[in-house]
Amino acid sequence: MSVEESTDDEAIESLLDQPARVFEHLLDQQEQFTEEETAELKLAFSRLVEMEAQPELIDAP
Amino acid sequence: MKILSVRLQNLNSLKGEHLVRFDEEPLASAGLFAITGPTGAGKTTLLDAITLALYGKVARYGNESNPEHVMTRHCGECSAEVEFEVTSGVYRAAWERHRAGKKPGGKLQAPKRYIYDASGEPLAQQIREAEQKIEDLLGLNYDRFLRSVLLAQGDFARFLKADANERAGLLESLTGTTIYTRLGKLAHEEANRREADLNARAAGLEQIELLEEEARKELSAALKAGDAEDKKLSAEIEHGTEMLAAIKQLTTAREKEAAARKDKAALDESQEVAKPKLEQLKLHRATLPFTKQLSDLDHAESTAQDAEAKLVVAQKNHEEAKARHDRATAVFQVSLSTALSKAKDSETAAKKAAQEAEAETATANKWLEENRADETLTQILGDLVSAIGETKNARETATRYWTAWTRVAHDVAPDQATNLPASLVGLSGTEQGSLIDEMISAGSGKQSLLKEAGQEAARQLNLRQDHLDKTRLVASLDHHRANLQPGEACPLCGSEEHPFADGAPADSGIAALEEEVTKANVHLEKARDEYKKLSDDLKRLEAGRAELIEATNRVEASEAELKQLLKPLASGIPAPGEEAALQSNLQKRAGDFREHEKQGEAGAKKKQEAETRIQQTLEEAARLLNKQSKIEKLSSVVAGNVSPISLDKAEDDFHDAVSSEQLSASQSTERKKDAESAAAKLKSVSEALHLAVADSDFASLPTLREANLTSEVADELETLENDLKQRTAAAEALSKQAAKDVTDLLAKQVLEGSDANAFIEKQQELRSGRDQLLEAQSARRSALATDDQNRKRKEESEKELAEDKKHFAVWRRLKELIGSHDGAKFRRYAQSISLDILTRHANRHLIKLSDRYRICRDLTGELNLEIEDLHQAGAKRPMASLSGGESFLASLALALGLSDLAGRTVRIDSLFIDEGFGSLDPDSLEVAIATLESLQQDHKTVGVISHVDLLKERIGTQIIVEKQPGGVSEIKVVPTV
Repeated sequence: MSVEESTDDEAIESLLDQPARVFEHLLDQQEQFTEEETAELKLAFSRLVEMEAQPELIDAP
Repeated sequence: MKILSVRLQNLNSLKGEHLVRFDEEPLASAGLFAITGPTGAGKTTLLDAITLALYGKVARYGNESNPEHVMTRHCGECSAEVEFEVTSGVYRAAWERHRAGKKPGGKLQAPKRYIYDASGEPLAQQIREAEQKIEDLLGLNYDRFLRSVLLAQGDFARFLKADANERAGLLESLTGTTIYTRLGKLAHEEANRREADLNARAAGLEQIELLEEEARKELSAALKAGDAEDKKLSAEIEHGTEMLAAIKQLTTAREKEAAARKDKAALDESQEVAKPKLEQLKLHRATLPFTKQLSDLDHAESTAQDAEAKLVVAQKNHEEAKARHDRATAVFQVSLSTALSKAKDSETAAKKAAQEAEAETATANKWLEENRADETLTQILGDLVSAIGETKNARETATRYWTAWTRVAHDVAPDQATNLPASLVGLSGTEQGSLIDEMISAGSGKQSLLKEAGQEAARQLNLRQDHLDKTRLVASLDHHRANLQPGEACPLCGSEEHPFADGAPADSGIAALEEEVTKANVHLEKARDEYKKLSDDLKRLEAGRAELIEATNRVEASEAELKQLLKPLASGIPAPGEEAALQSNLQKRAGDFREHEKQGEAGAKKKQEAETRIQQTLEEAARLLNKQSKIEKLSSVVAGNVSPISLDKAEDDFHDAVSSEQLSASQSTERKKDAESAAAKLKSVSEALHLAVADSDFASLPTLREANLTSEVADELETLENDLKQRTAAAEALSKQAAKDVTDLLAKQVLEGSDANAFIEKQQELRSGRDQLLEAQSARRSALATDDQNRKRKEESEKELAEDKKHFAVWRRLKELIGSHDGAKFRRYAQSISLDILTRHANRHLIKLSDRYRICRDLTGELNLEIEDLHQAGAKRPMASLSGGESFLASLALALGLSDLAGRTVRIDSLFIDEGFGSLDPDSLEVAIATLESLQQDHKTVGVISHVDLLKERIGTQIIVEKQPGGVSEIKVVPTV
């Protein structure tokens, strides 16, 4: 990915403040996943973000 | 983050204490300043002080904490302190280290670090505490600080050459995006955890053991056979249980039968023992018809005895009251006689006092009549004392004025003054005036003579002074005389004759003339003094004239007033000096008069009081005689050997005794009537009872009384009788029931004795056998149930596991995408975005430094950088291919870009660049300086350490580190050089 092509500097810098968007950016570059798998991965990533914010969730199933 | 000041002590060549304030002029307003000085002077030591104070480290010693060699040689202590400002406020970080005893030869001690807030409150006082606190405050650890604030020599290139991981870490710290590392690490760990969980559960399933089918069949068959056997055993045990109950009933019935027989024997014995008591109860029942008459007789006897006892007490009380009455009467009579005697004595004393008082009054009145004239004296004594005082004061004042006046008069005209009288008192006003005028006139005559004498003395002085002046003039012309020539005119007087041309007389007489002038001068001064004194004395005499006449007038007036007051007392005014004696005499006379007046009044008062007492004693005696007469009428008791007491108490006692005796007499009479009535009643009741007994089965009244029991004894005997009857009935019923039970059970063929024992033993064996059977059946059922549960659980778990394995595939893919054990994979991806942003920031600075190069990211590697050469048609090449100068410009642009990027979370307002400028050509150096100066617009302060002459000339504001003798240096801050 190259961000140089972007014209919106502020939007790109604020991208780093939103891990879910960065992950979606990463997924966009992955062609091997089906839509269902992509959706599952986004769901798992959001769960991961929750666990990072609330460590007590880590041992939950 | 902005560095406000650096303070250091004994670091390397900077011996002693040094302070550099970046927040004060000239550095405060200089966006760019140079730190200059010869090699080895200690320029970099300034930067060492900053890292020491903040992190306890020095860049040139690598990662060594608290390096030992920073202390200046031959010193015992060293320190560094930095004051800095961040968004949360101003803070102060300090590092210090010393040798033992702070002596140069002492052993090096452990360093200390502190962090303080703006108020001086310590936030950290331990090294570990300070390390954590400084990172929290700055948002930069040591390495990040070096790369973004203190750009040490060669570090620009080092950043460019850093590997992807190191660069990612730096970018992450600067952008505050460490969450990506944590998420990457968490993705790795969570996937591993879930995989481990699945593996553990799969292994757990393998551990579940299930029964083989053959084993399950065998267990079921055994269970069924066991249930049939249990049914048979249960029937047998149930039948045996009934027989055991019957055997127990028979045993119980036999025991009751034996007990009943035993109770019957005991009961018979009790009845034999109770027989006499039952006979006694029978006789008592025969006395019951006489119960009321016996009770009446008892009551009458008791009443008669009680009345007799009370009569005896009442008679005794009456005797005692009579005796008290007699004694009180005697005491009262004696007390009355004593009081009468005292009243007569008092009357006699009062009469005598009245006579004495009358005599005192008569004596005082006689004296007052003889000195009646002094009554007026007592009334005007105050005025007299005042008038005597005024006369005395007026006389003294007049005498004092006259004495002073005559003293002056003696100075003015001593001859006339000897004839002056001792006092003016007694002279008329005209005589006084003439006397005074004569003295003043004599003085005036003398004043005229002195005036003339003074005028003559002044004239004599003028004559002598003139003669002296002329003689001195002649003497002063000696050198002119020497020039005179015979026959030639004198240039002064024109005379052609020069009698003194040969010289003046040897003695010109100047000294004698001067002495005469002095004497004349003294004479004149003396005449003037005498005239002045006489004139002053004459003025005083004239001024005293009015005072003297006024004073003598006051004397006359006061004496006239005093004389008028003394007239009724037949006394004349006192001579001067006898005023006090007269006053004293008058005060004594007035005092005596008042004293006799008081004596007369006191005598009259005493007489009045004595007469009052006489009247009172007469009345008291009459009252006492009246009481005595009454007592004699009431009682014939003759006073015996008793002593008098207080009359009031004696009278009260007497009346109390009279009342007591009357009361006790009345009570005695009442008690006697009661006793006679009770005796009559007793006789009546007794006679009636004797007649009734004579018609009964009882031989006599005593026999009847003996048979009659108290209610308590009678109740006790009746209870005994009833108890015996109830026990007899109960024993008979129990015996009868036991016999019936035995008969019934034997009719049912219930076993007894050895047969029963054998039956019981057999039953116990049956029960034991059944217990064993039930235990075995329970184990079989449990084994089958457990196997059922295991089968079910395993089946369900296998389904869940299969489902979870599907879910785990998602986490495995997530791990493959972003997970790594250190979070580096996702961090690198996220920081590749940061690097794009960084290169944009860097290129903004690079444009100002060079129009040829642009930094861009190598898209073949995640975090690699390369340089684009615009002069070579945009050809891209690795960073390593740049020359020294090109590398410096690119590195500087990146460093400034890093600061911009860091500003997203950590604002960096202080940059220190140590060397690196030597590789630039003059044009590039000029561009670099202009670029650094432009940073001031962003409120950044840049310090540049360099030897480059052009740099030193181009940057006006400098911190100069100068070498001094002895290998030490001094710091100077100058605005321009």
